[in-house]
Amino acid sequence: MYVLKEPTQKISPDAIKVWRITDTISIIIFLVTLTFLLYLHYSYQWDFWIGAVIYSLIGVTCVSAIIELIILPVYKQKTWRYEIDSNCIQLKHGGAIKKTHMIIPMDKVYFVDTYQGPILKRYKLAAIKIGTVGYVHEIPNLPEEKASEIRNYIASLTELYKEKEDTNGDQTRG
Amino acid sequence: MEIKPVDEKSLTLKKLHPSWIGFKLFKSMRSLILFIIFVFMVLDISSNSIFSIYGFSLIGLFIVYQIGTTILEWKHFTYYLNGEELFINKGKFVTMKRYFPLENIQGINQNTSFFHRLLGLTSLLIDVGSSDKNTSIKLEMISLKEASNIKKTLSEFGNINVSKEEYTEEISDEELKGNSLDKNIHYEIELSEILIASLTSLRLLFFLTVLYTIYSELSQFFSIEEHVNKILNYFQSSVTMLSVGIVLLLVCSMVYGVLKTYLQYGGLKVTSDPYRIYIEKGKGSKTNFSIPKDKIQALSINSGFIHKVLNIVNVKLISSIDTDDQDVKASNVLFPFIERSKAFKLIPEVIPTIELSKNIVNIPKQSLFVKLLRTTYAWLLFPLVIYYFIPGFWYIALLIFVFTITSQILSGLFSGYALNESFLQLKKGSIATRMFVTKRDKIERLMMSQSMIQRKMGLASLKVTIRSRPTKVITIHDIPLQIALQCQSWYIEGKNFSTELTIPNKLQNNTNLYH
Repeated sequence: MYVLKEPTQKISPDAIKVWRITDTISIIIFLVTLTFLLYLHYSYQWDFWIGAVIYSLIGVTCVSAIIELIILPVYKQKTWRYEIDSNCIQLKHGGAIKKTHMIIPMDKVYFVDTYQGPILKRYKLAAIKIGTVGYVHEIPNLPEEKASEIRNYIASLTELYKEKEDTNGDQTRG
Repeated sequence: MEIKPVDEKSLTLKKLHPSWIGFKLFKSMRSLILFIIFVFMVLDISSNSIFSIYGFSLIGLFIVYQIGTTILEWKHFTYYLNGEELFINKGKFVTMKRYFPLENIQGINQNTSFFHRLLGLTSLLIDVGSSDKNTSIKLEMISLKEASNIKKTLSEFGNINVSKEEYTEEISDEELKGNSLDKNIHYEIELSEILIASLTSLRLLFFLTVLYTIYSELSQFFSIEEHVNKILNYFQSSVTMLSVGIVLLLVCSMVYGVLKTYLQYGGLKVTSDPYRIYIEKGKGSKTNFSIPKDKIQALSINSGFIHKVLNIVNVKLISSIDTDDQDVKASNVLFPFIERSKAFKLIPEVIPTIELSKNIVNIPKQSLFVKLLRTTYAWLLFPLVIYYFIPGFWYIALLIFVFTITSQILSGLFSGYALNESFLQLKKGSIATRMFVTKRDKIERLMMSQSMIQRKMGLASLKVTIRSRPTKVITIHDIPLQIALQCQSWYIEGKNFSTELTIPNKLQNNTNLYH
């Protein structure tokens, strides 16, 4: 009998760098927007509370940025696990604070893609996107070759399930 | 969809009944009236003559456009049905021709509203089973005879099973009664059920809101305020009159409740054949609805606060039928209000693939603590914020506090689960109770999560995703970790992949890469 394996596969250690870069970019964009609002606040003399909200948002962003850039990427990379076999895909992430463990049976996978942005490309990484009904799941930051290997593997399996379904459907119909 | 250059003139193209134009216009005018009210109220056009000219010409243009497109739509909508295919031509300015092979057609739903019945018409919704988004074709406003002809053709040449009774009943009601043997009648609603259910539901509140909406709508156009005040004063003149007034209001709301429920669910009948379930219901507007049994993804058995005491439940189907049609969406109720034991007896009869277990295991008591901690924001922070910023609304803050605390405590006491060979049953209780039953094969994905506090207590949360539109996610919090893990292995290990599917060697070797 098939026994569910505990996920053991890890994502690339470069993930830490990638996350740091992308997070830095988004934090900078957010801060720039806030500064622009602050400028508008002073030039148009908006209400006092708007300024207070903007200042507190900037404060919160700066504090959270420290955690987000230094600790979180390491924590995420260390806790991310996945496992793929012919029966199912398992994604597990999170640790001390909140742990999530997802199981997707192979016959419920609708599509699988690899995705690569400019930053991922620089580190020769790629993400895998697994589409199920209503949701798209991601295995982030895998080495390029591994990602395409996994994609081909999942795609060939889902193809098999599709064929099986089709023949089954014809049988009941006929 | 494949497009064939067929010589259309050689075939008899059919049109919808001309009254469709009126029907459609009536529907769009309803929204127009709301729009006009909005324009008058928000923009206050009447006070400004320049705006009013623009406004009126805009409204006029809109009406002309609506009438024009509706007529065009009617003119362009043609269809025919022969032994091989269903052909549809539709569009407003750009027309589209489509052919649907009959063997692909998945099912028909019939809906006869009150408006239809006045004209002796009906509407059919044909599930054409195509892969894109428009999976159903609506033939609105066709004659009853035409509808039964279509049903007959589809059951003769297509793949769907419309019983003889269904397509001949409109022509000769009595003659073929004996022929309905292939369908099992499971349930027919009784008048007493309607009475009890509608009297115990919270229709009184609905009645008062309906009354108030009518009043506020009318008072915008007519000065009825005066009369209403007169009536109110009359009833407030003495205690006797006041009690008479209250009793009168109660009786009215009860009559309203019973009448509304009767019109909606009167004559509800659930039948089935080996492949499909047929639900027939309604007195004012009649709906015939059918659903393939294999499209049923899950069942939800619900019970409101009062109904829980009376042991009455409401059974709904969660299905993967792709449709945007409101009539079909609204007909997923299998049993609107039925005695619990009767439901448990009938469900396996109607859907033999579903088994119900009565042995629901309650979640452990320590979950109460986790639940209260998780919802701190709702019972502590939110009321505090309200109290701090708007002290005048202290009673709302208190209400939220009491409500969330009780619902969390009840949820801790009444939530539960049952796991058997191939079914998962999750019960979410609080003031109202909902129980979901689903089969292992119908679960699209399973997610387990565990927060820090949950881990300390040995608990976990489970999220079950079910295919439906929109996707249905059932969450149960704070079940024992042991059970959550058992659920995971039950979900995958019971699937028996290896016997069902042979994996080529090439792939099997590949698997080693990931192990």
